[in-house]
Amino acid sequence: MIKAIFLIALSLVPLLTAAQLPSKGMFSLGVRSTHNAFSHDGQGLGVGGQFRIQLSDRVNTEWFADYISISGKHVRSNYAHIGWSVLFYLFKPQEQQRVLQPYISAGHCFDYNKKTAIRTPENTVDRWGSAVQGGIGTHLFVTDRFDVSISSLYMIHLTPAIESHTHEVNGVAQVVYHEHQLNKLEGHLLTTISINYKIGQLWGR
Amino acid sequence: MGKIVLFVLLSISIQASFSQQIKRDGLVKTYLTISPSIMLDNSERPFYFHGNLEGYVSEQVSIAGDGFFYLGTLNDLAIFQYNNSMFAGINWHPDKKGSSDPYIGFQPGIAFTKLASSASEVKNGVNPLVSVNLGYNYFINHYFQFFVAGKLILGEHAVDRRQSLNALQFSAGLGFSLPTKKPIKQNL
Repeated sequence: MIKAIFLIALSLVPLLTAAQLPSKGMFSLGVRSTHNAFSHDGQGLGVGGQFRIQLSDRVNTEWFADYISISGKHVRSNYAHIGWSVLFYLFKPQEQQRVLQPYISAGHCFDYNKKTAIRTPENTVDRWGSAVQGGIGTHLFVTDRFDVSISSLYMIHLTPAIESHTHEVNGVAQVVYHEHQLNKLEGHLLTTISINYKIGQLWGR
Repeated sequence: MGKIVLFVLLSISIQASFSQQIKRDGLVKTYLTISPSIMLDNSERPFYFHGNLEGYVSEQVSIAGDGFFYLGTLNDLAIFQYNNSMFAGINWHPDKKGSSDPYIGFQPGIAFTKLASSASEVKNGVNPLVSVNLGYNYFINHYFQFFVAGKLILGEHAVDRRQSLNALQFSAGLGFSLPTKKPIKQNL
């Protein structure tokens, strides 16, 4: 199903390019959907939003908030991320807006994780933490102001993670939690599709 | 044969009387309707009170917010006590001008759900959703439009037990709109 969404997003790309808007100080607003993979908790789906403030022709910043829910067999793990990333564009801007604008991205976020036993929701534990993320992405410009962006970032938690274990007691699954004493720098791969609209320049007019 | 020709001529004349150049940039439109739904992973057939608010920021791009309030099911199977959701996102309209306005869109969202379970201490779930919109508006003038809208929703409830929220939702009806950018000559 994710593939279908990806294909639909790609189908939005028109064949023609549009005039390049000024980049410095450009403020964009968008919404995003995130797919979580390669974590102990399993696969999950997230919802969130972001704004961008572009600093120069090749450097943009993205400020985001996400709520991600990952359901395992016995435990649901919810993440809240609030953070920022710096986007460095691989190609120089041209007079005509490029349809594809690939970038590398790196940043930091604050991270809240709450784990809840699915069958016994009162059995829950949470922690606050911090994380860094890095990866690649690209904008697909549908018009000069409107883009669909796809990125894949690996996020490494800098805070000891909460782990859950399930034991069978009289045939009933019992979930217990414990915190890693040592940080194993574990994380997850976050693939995000976002849609963004350039509102206007904050400076540089 | 005569009836078919009459029908075609009537259709063309209605089309000609209604058609006009619609300036979409700055248009704010809204509607309220009842939306039936097909759950993709079970046989529940819920229906919703559906509200939409959409603003065109250009001729081709609109920012859209949608809310769905759970009203019950069309069949006897009720899996959820409630399954309310709201979405925010953007629609892209490939036709720049004219009364005819097909669109495709993307809206992340969130669902507030509770199972129709007999357990007394079942908590509600707050679940991320992702959705794709496909729809069509026909603008009668700057103030009214007919619409049909379909929405593919993906998500999962995971409190008490895991339950898919994947669904197709359908809406249709008459919407209202208001131009907010400079006065426009109206052919009412």
